[in-house]
Amino acid sequence: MNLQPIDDLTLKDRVIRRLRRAILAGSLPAGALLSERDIAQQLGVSRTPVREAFAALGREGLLSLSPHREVRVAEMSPAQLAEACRLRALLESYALSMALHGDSVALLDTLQEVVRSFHFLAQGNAADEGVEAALEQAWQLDLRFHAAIVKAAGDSLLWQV
Amino acid sequence: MPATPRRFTAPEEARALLRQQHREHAELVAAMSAGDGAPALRLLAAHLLRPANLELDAASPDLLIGLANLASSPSNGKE
Repeated sequence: MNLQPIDDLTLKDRVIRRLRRAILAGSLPAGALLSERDIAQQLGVSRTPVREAFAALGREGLLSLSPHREVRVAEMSPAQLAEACRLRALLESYALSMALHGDSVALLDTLQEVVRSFHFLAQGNAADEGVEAALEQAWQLDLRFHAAIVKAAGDSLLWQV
Repeated sequence: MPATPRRFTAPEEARALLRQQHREHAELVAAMSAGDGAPALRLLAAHLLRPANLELDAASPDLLIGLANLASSPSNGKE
């Protein structure tokens, strides 16, 4: 018996995925104003999942939501980007140093698994599905890689940050 | 001043980015597997600075000091 896996993504998750791909690939550029109605029409869905997706992507920092309900793809100046990268490098290095001083076997297993998946992606096999899909997969793998490091530090406050 | 939006119009550019990310992850994991704490910390920091085009040695002296302290502190508050 050959059963197909169940795709249990909700409509909101599908909208999130579609928008995230477009943002990461640059087809929705930084600063672009997004209309709930236009996006809903383009994706063929109602406005509710689009509104929910906007909120979720706002929490991820990919969209900026103004009090006037204006939604834009998040912009970052070069100085802000440099500051964010420096801060993240310091925090995550701290997390890695904590993890390395503990039992890092499970962490290494997870990281090696991500590296293997990334290898497949980087070979261009997955990119055949499209640039946007490949970049979104890379984003998910990168998130998993770095989340594993921070989680392995065993510091709940750092994990929240 | 808004940052110039990245556009990956060419699949080759996206693949090059994926290969670079993969290489950096693999180098970090290799350093960790070898039990090299200090190099692993430097590789991780360099990897995280790359999106801002920052070089670890040239652009971030404070970060270097922080990394050196982390690398030389065996317990890091665990004890």
